[in-house]
Amino acid sequence: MRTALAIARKELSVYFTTPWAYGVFTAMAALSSFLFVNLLVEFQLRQAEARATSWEQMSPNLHAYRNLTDGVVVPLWGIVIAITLFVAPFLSMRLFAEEKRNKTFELLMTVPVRSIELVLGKYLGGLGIITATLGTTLIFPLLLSLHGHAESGTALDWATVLLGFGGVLLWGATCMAVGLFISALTESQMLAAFLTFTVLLPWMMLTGVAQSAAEPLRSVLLHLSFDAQLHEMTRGILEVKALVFFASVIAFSLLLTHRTVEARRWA
Amino acid sequence: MKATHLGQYLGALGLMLLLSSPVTLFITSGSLGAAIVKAGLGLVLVGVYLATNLRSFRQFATSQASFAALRSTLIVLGVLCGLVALNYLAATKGARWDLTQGRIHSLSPQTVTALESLQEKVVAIGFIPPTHDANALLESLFQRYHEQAPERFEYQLLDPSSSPELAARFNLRPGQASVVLVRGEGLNAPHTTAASVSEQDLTNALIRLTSVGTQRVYFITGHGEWPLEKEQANPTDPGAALSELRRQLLHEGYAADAMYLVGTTDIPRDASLVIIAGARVPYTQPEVEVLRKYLAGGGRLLYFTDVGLEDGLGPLLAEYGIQLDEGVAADSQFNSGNPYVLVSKFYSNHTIVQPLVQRNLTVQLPMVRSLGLLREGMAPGVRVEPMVHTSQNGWVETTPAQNAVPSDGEKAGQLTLAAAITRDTSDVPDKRFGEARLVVLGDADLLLDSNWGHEPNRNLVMNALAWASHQVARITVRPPDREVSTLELDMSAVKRMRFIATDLFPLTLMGLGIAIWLARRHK
Repeated sequence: MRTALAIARKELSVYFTTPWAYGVFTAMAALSSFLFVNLLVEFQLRQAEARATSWEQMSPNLHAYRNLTDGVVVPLWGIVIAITLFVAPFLSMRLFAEEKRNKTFELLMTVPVRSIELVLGKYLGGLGIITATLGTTLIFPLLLSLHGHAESGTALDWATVLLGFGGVLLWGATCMAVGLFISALTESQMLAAFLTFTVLLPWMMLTGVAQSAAEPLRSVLLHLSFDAQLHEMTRGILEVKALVFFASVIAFSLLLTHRTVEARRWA
Repeated sequence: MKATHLGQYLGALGLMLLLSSPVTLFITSGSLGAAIVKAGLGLVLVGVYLATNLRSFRQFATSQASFAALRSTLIVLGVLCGLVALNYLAATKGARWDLTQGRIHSLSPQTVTALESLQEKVVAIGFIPPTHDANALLESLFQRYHEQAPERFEYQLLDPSSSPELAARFNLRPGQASVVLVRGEGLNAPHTTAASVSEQDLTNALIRLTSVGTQRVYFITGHGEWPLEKEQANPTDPGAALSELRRQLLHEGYAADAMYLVGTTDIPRDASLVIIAGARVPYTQPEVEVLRKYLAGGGRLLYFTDVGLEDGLGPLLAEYGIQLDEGVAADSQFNSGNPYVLVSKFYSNHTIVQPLVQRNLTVQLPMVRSLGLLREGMAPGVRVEPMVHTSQNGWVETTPAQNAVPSDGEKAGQLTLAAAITRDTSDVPDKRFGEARLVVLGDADLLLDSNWGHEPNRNLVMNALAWASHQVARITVRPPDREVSTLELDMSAVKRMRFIATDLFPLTLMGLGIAIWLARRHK
């Protein structure tokens, strides 16, 4: 494990000393900020409507706007999840592909490092960088808690906010695991990013397919859909099935990566 | 082109056909024949690939790498099977925790009570297009109802466009998202529709569907009581009406009507309940006699008054053990920043307030009138039970405009703010019910539209209504709403926030990146 942590540290230091990671941070921050401000404006409009009439008079579909958590933070996490779908492949693409392109992968195979340590080290490095990227979005709930008001004193329901952020992190961790596996398959970083995206996007959109399918396929597809699994978590509901599902995808991706790296030894 | 290359292309095509055949069967065409043809063709093309690349396979099969590949495949398949089993267990048996404040995504006690009191199976049909925003919300709601009462609550989601005959049977408009609840089976099975896709409306529809007959509630009018309709409210204060209370009554299966007492000799026999809400002009003696007769014959009355109101009903209330205090109830400790706006969590063991105790809900009563409980001079068979109190720090402020501290001669200590009274009327000839029920509350403002959003108050009122009308299943806590939290930002604050979020924040990150890059270049 010590070797894995050393590899992770090295990965992180590479990430944090290249302008590439900051470019991704900036893109993430700029996009999510822009959409966050739009959510705020929408929230204020709905609250003004409610003040003019009453919440009881408004459609139940708009009741989410009663509260900053449901009206702003929950949709914000949905947006961050969507942005992560685009950002994560660019963070995961270099993990193995760069080693292969620079011909350092063969070198790695000759040093006394077990494949499992190599895979875990790379993954932990990737996990660190995606956590840092997604961590920048915590500034938005903090801004809201500074400006918002509620009768009980706390403008935000922090349990819901943090569980939602946990869901976002889990999604980021899953993207990195899938990206790591694909990065281990090719030496082209762009191809790795593209393939990761093309795997994750339809997977994310399984909910739409499930809705038009019949049972029991519908339930299976809904269980396999990232979107459906994350939906409840961002609303403040913790489900064992979601945790097991994400842990399974991560574990399976890491296993595939490990077997791919092992295969290089035998090739 | 070489045969091996051609075989590879055909093999790739075959693999795609083979793998996509379940999609054809379950999602796109639904035709078993098309799926079999695709799978068959796919297998043939994969066979062509194997035949044309036989030499490569032989080489692979005899190499050391092939054993490693075989071992990897077996490991991967084994782990995959284990993970599938684990996910199946988690999906069928996995726990679920609602971590939201107030547990707003869990079924409310009202819903649980309604589901538990179902005598026969109810089927909920959600007529909602698959692409509708509320589709997932409705399904998760149905799922939770079904989990609570798997034997008695079933559901299905239907696309209205694909089930026009059912939509026509229930008189649904095209394109409308609706929920229909059907009790029992058959074409003539009773049904009702929910007003919207929310737990409160779904549960209200469930209660309506299973109610035997309709409870009729009369609001007495003609003495300055709060009006039932929004249009009848004072234009300067449009929230001063009882339209929200009336709406909730209708949702829960009550019929609500206004009623004049002038010129009548009796309350209509179909009255399940009579409500007096904020009367400010004294009742005439014949009107008081009508009410006296009604209560003496086992009637049910909810009486709400306010500070300073004089309605001439004091002697009648005294017969039922209640005397209204003159002045404003105040509390120096349990208030919302103003001693006249009481926050109370001091309840008795009465059925009406028990659900509030269980959920730790505090009622909030602004400018409330306290009640004195009489020990003598009452009608025979009367039993008075206080329900809501102030803390021990309460007092009756007789001059609220001058000072807000207890003075000599003012009643002090734990005050009663609401009480429930019963009277045994089982021996009365031509009685309505064997027991008269009366609830007295020293605040009528909490019924107004502008105040109806306060969840604990709303539950107190609706539970009092349910107790008085003997609707035991409806004494509960209704689904909570999220607390209203607001964001009060003026233009400069919005600009500041926009500047921080969209300008300063991303540019700081970019600047940091450039600085690190430059620092590395100069090393």
